[in-house]
Formats: sequence, C-alpha cells, structure tokens
Amino acid sequence: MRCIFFFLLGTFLLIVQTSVFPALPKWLGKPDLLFILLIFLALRMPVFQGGVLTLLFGLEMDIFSGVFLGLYPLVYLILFFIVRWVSKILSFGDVAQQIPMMVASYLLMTSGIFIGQTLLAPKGFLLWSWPDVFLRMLILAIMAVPLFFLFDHFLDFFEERKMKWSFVKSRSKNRFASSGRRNRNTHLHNGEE
Amino acid sequence: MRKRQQRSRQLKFLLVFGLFLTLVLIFIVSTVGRREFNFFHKLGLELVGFAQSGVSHTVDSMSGVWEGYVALWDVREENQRLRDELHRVQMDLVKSREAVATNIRLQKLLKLKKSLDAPFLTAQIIGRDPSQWFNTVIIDQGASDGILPGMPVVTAEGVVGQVRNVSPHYAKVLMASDSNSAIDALVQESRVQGIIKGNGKGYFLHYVLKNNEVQEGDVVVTSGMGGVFPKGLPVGTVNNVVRNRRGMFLRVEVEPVVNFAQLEYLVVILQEKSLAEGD
Repeated sequence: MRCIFFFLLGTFLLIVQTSVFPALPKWLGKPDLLFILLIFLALRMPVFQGGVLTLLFGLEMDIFSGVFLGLYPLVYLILFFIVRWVSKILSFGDVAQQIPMMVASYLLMTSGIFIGQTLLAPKGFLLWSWPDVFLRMLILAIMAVPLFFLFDHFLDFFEERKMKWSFVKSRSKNRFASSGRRNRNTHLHNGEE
Repeated sequence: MRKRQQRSRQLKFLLVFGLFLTLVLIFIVSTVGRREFNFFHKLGLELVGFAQSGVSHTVDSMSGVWEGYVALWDVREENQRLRDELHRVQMDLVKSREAVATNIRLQKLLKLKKSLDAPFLTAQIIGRDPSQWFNTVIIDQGASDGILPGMPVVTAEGVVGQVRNVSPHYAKVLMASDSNSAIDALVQESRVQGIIKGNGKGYFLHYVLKNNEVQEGDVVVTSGMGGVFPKGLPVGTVNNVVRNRRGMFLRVEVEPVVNFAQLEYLVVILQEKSLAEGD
C-alpha cells in the first residue's frame, strides 16, 4: 500500500514537472520534485521497496526525458545506493543534514546523466551550464524542506496504519488459548517435548 | 367685611379678564386681513422655528443615515454587479484574444498546408522534458493517428524536430535543439551544405569548410537530403561565424527560427518514408 502510494505520488510529481512547470517563468526555475522524492526514498524506505520504486521512477523518466533508454534507471539506482551508504556511514538523521547531501546528490546525478549522454553520443554537443545547475540546486534546497516534512507525514501515516492493523491482528479474543499456544511454542523452541 | 373683600376680588378678576378679553379681541380684529407678522407672530415663529429646526435636523440626520445605509446596500449590489460585468468582459476579451491567436495560427497552418505536398497532422504539446540536458516534448497524437518514429515535425515558422518514440495515442518528439538531433541543411544564399546539430539552446551548422562563404544573417533551410524533411523549410539564421586557426571547418552558430519555449501546437508531416525504416 505504501509503495503504491509513493509510486502514484512520484508519478503525480513527474506530471506536474512536465506539464505545469514549463508554463512558469524561466527565472523561477523548475524544481525537480521527483528527485527530492527519490532521495527521501533512499533515506527512509527499506532497501528493497526503495530500490524498486527508484527503478520504476527511472523507467518513467526514460519515457518523458532524453533519448537513450536505461540511462535514468541506471543513474538513479547508483545514486540510491550511494545515498544509502553515505547516510549510513555518516548517520544522517536530521533534515538539516540531509539537505546538503541531497544537493550534492543532485550534482552527482546531473553529472552522471551528462557523462552517460556524452558516452552514448560522443558526437553530440552537450553544453554544461553551471548557472543552470546552481539554480536547480538552490531551488532543490529550498523545496526539499517542506517536501521532506510532507513525505515524512505520509510515511508516518502509513506506519501508524500498519501498527494499528498489526495490533488488531495480533489480539485474540481467546487470550487463554493464545497464551497457551505461545507457551507451547516457547517450550518447543526450548526443545521440551 | 368678608363679603366686601370677596366682591372686591371678583371685581378685580372681572376687570383683568375683561381687559385680557379686550386685548385678545383687539389682536384678533387687528390681525384679520393683515399680511405681515406682528410681534407675537414673530415671537411664535422664533420659538417654533427653533424647535422645528432642531427636530428637522435630527430627522434629516437620521434619514441621512438611513438613506446612506440603504444606498450603501444599493452601491454594494451595484459594485458587485459591475465587478461581475467587468469579469465577464475580461473573459470575453481573453476569449477574443485567444480566438485571434487561433485564427493567426490556423492561417499559418493553411499557408503551410499549401506549401507542403505531404499530408500532415496537428498535435498539441502536453508535456515537456523536465531534465536539464534533453529537449523533448510529448504530443497528444500517436501511432493510431498515423504517426511513426522519424516523421518530421514543423510549425509554420520552420523546423521543430522529429518524432522519436510513439505509443498508440501519444508520441515523443526530439527537438532540433537537442544535442542528439541532426538535420541536413544548407545556407540559402551560398547553397553551402552542412549538418544542423542542437546544442541545447540553439544550433551549430557542422561540416562547413573554411573556404565556403557563410555570413551572419544568412538563412539556413533544410536541404531535403535523406528524404526526412521537405526541402526548403526554414531552420534558422546564422548569427556567428568563427574561423579557428586549427581544423578545416568553420564554427557556424545558428539561431533557430522557432521559439522552442513558446511552442503549443506542432505539425507532424505524415510522410511514408521515415527514419524508422532506416533503423
């Protein structure tokens, strides 16, 4: 349920990015909302769920952006594992620490796309533009704080629902029977017949 | 003794009453038929007028407040009505402007249709590439409408790009400004040929030898070679020519005729031969 929700959320953000943001003035920049979600997933979600969602978002990006298929899934997945690894080593838990890491990750991602594109089409003439990159990084840093709180809120909502559901499932009306079963299991684990 | 005093009082009363009655009669007799106020009239007028004035001002001020309040209601209603009317007029203005813009666009399309031999299809841009490095757009027509990969995409102004991928109802168009795009072109004045390649924002005309004459302001059009784009479609205008000391080619910068940021509708030329066949 949580995965489906975040997949739909990411798709919605991608649609907003591709259909709404181009109509905005250029000086406002175009925040990469999906990228913020990707970093959030890498930091907060379990590795399997986060990895699958990252892969799906990479495939979606392939549809909407670029020419060479597979570039985005590859770069996104590499980034996903790097972010997880770095955050584990440096024990990043606070949003204030995660924002600089996200900005650095964006630089890494955009460099990855640039290098990938250059390798795949060596005759292409792709111009690296630092002002554009810095503008996007700045917008990401600004947008990341409220979005991280929002995504955290969604995640907490699903966690609470999961906890409630598991609590309801674990409770049995016949407590004697359940406690007896638990005792018997304990005995079996201890090797008592 | 008491009777004498009583009679004397009665006499005094009768005298005073008679005097008062006489004065009243004289006043009435003297008043009848006159047109001007006498002293009493004036005194009465002063007193009553003062009272009237007070009451009248009070009533006036109260009625002023009341009428102002009621009138305010009317003004509010009128204000709202005028605002609604203004909004309606503004909407009409926007619609008429949009109609004029559509009319201009359709006129250009009509002109384009006359100049093109092949059938074409008009498509609307529904999505743009969110990334920094690529220039692609998604259009609302796909394979079910007859669109194939490689088909040229133009506007009335000139070349836009080529269809890259298609799904049944949508297609992805690679803009000519993308670094992965390459179009055969020639300089209209000098007939010098080259390859137009995108650099993200504009174009470079590649493979133009140094001994060729290319000047700023020259118009670049499609050459028609390769059979993808019809010959003679405007591509851009030369805005910078650099002769490097090394190398055998000129560095020719071309400004697109199409404003890629303001595109709304595109024309896909439905020609049977497309790049897909080459792939």
